[in-house]
Amino acid sequence: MSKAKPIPAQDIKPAPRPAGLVLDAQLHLLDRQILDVDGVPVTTVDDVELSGPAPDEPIPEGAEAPHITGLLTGPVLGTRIFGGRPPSSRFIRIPWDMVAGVDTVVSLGVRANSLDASWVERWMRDQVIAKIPGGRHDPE
Amino acid sequence: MTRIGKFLAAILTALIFLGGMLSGCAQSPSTDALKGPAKEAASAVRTASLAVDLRLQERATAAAGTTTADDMLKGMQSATDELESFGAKTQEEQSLRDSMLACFSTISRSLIHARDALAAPTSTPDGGKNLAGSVQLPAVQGELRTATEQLDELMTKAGIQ
Amino acid sequence: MKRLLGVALGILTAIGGFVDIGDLVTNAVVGSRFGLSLAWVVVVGVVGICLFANMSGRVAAVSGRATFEVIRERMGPRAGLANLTASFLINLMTVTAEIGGIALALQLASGVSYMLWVPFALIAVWLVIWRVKFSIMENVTGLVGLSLVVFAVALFLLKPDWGSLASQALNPSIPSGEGSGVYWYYAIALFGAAMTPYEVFFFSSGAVEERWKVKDLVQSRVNVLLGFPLGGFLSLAIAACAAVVLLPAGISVTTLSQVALPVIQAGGQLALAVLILGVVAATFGAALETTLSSGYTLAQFFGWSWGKFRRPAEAARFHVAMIVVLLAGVAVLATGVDPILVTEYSVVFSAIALPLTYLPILIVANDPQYMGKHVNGRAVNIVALIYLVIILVASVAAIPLMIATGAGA
Repeated sequence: MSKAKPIPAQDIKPAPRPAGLVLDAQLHLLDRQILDVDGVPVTTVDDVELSGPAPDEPIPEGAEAPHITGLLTGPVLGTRIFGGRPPSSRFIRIPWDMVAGVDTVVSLGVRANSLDASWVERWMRDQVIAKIPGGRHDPE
Repeated sequence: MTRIGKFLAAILTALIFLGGMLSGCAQSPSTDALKGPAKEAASAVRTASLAVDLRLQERATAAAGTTTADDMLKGMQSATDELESFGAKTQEEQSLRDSMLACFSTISRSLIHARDALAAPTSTPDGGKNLAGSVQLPAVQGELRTATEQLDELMTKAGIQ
Repeated sequence: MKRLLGVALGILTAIGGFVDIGDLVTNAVVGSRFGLSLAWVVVVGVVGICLFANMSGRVAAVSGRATFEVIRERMGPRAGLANLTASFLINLMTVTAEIGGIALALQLASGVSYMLWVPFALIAVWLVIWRVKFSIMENVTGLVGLSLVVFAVALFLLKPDWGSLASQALNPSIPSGEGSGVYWYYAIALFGAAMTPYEVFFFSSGAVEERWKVKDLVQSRVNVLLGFPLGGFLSLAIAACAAVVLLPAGISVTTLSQVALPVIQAGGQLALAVLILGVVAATFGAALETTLSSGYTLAQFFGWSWGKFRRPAEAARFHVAMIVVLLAGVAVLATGVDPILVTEYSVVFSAIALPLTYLPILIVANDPQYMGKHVNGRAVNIVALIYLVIILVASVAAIPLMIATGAGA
């Protein structure tokens, strides 16, 4: 077997990029608008839920890497400004498998009405807007 | 507070302090406190004169005229209130304030007459008939002019204009 | 031909929509006290609003995202909330002033006290927001608002001394009866009246409402670059009318009725009727725009569904927010506060809050992730930076001057 010749530098192609999208959670996910499958705004991304051990817990041997299990929305305005985090029970969860795409907005593959996250909108719609005549018609 | 927060708070305090100092400097002679209400009254009585003129020429509608008169009456009310709260320190200031208040009430009276005159019709479809408006308006105009002169004299005496 | 009509419509609505109660009152006050010596501020303000509106329209058309969404995403909740609070409060003040303006104009027409007109104005504004299509709303109020050109006509009919007007404008000097503090205070007020922040939120959200794409940018640029300066010219006509009739008569403007006097003198009852029509249309249009603006800013910041192109049932929180804003504005008017006073404060506070709204747009217009190849060019950025300095100076100087001059007394 002959000795392999060194490849000239200009012939070396760049390494193939790993499959998938590389995201910075704070830059590309946090505070982004979530749109449903029809493009209707649902809410904003207030937090991200990860699988795996909780912080400060020892990591068991052979545990898999944490991955995103859901997007969270909740009453975070005060805590984002002054610090801290509301308890997990105060967040509404959008499972990650509903996410269809991540761009300047996060697009879901389902309708807004089917999500818990849109409950305030549905409540306002049913209790307030529907009671005012003309609310269900297109503007003319 | 973060460093930026402290910095911004310091700037805001400095600005307010600066403003307070500037306004303090501007307030030296006490007749300056008379300036505001006097100027407001002068403007009001002149506006009413202009409105009456325009109504005499039948350029203004009754609605526009009465609205103007009402607005000027409100202005006179606030000028009078401001003047009444003026604390006169010397005998001279006291008499100045009192004569100005008397002048203001003359002006307000003539404004009320003006309002009534402006509201009255000045012509009918068959024309030529001497109606309430066309008689009252010139009289009110004279009243307003006298009040204006009175106020101007007072203002010159007080050194405001 | 249809293209040409569309372009003309855009320009005309921009002119008619430029003047609102803030411009009307501030220009008249300035004209009656300072003549045309503050005309240069109008020019500076018009150039600024052209720059500002162009950038925000471009951001919306290219990225498909409206202003506050971008502010939230790029600047985070802290800066975004500060911006939102300031803008929202000023919007609220402006809504109050505009509804007051509608009522005052109707009082001028009828003699019936403006307080009685306020509920009508409220219901009318709400009904249009509830049911009328965005483009119809814009076009009708803009075109009818063109009646304000009666100020320019009146100016000609008054046969002023053009030479003296021109020298007042081109050689600005502080008149003898006024101090320099008051002069600069009103310069800031006039600047804030021209560079209204709500205009920017409205413009960029409107771009998303009407689904602008990059190819619509040319049309929007024409609207802005032709329409706004002509609107600025109308503002100058308002100031000039006051300067020609009210300044020599020793009348300083504090009410809408005084603003009408020069027009009445020039053209009588017909001119008055046209004026009232124009004022009602302009303030009505501005009331719609500011109310929608408050809805847009809240909805875009919190991520709600928004837009007049959606039926109210599909943008429930958006519409509820606007109803609350309208009711709040009317509640303020019901306390009997003078709408003209509210107007005068709203323009100064607009100037104070301008940096908060301007800076994020400038940052985003330079961000390639949102703008792709449509980021600001070098020339635009240079002008934009100059304006940033002007805006910061005006904003910082406003409060001390307000305190020192007793809000321009």
